Amino acid sequence: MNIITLFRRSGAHDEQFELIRPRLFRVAYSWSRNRELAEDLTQETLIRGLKNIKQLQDPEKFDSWLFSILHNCWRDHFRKLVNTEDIDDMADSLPADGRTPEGEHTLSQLVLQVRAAVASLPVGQRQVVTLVDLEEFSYMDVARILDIPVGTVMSRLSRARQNLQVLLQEHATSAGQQHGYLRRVK
Amino acid sequence: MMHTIFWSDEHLNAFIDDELDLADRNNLLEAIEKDTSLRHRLCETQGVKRLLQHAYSDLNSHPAQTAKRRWKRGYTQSLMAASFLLLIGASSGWLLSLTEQHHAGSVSPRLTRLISTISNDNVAQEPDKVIVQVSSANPVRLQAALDETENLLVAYRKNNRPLQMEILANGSGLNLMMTGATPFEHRIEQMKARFPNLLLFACQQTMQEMEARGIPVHLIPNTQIAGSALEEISRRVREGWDYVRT
Repeated sequence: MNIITLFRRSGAHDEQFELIRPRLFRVAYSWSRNRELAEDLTQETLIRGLKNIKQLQDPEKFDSWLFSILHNCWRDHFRKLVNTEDIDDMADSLPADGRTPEGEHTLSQLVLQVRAAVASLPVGQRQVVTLVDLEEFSYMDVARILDIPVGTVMSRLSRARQNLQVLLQEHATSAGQQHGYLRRVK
Repeated sequence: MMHTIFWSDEHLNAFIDDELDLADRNNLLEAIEKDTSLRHRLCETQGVKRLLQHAYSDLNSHPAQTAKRRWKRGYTQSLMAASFLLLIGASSGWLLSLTEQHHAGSVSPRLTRLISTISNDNVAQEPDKVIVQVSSANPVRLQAALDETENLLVAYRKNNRPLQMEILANGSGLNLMMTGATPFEHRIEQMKARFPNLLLFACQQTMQEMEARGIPVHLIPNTQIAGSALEEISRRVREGWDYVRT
């Protein structure tokens, strides 16, 4: 019996936690690009969520509340790694750790390239673009989750998409040149 | 005197993410029609969003499919390049749907108008025709699409008015019609049994794209196949169908 099962004996919110688990994992993976770390972060988020569920005042905000916990777990992970630097200072500059998850060779090159491009973004940009695109949170919700102003959400999102566009077009161009198969697709 | 508005990247992102207020959204839609480079910028940004969604779409939801994938190594690089352009191209369709909606009015008022006119006119003549496009895998949106479709079908039946309705799924919305992937299979089958005037269409282009990526596509029984979502919508709009995008 794992620790989550013990916490869940209360019964309340079981279904919500179960439903949100894969979504938390997906975002955690997009931030970390490391399956084990993403699983740890998801597990830790769920445990903290279950422990503190009484603090959730507005049930409508369950999703964004839990994602803000994920953000805190992510910050804590970096604090453990880098005790002397402030994560807020790192948010615009720190690239991904670059570790490759097991089994990725079975995925398509396109998927791998996009994930690699996302992982190469600075942490702050990566978090914003994944919360907006994968989870479809509003800018206001993302601002609350990451505890940053909405204007910062917008500017980070803009830079993230510009960077991804450049990276992916470079990949697409080089792939087409290497193999000579690329033709115009209307 | 004409004023040209400069549309920043933040504006374009907010448009794509449905964060612009109505006035700015309408202004931008007007500008898109006149400004090719603006249109291009929007499509490219939307293409990046789609790519990112695609890259993580089956991370956890379809583990069995991921495990079964077999890749022909010879063409994966070119597929990657082509897929990028394909997704950018698909974004042009997305933009077309938005501009069509802009000309025709917003989605909700159109449905409201349709429902409100039923009770005012009980004489059954030519059936009203509505096509609903589903292009998102977001379960909330999928449910909204089914709810709205069912509400309309019920309202027409209640008022004894003929209605032809189609749901067209493309992009990530294809999940709605895939056996094993859709959370609404039972509900869709019930709706189809209850309303023979409801037809389901899947975009062949999306199906081929998924199959090329090694994802088997098994559609819910009696789902028909449309060549491409954009062509089907354009054809229906030309034929006078009401078009609703969820």
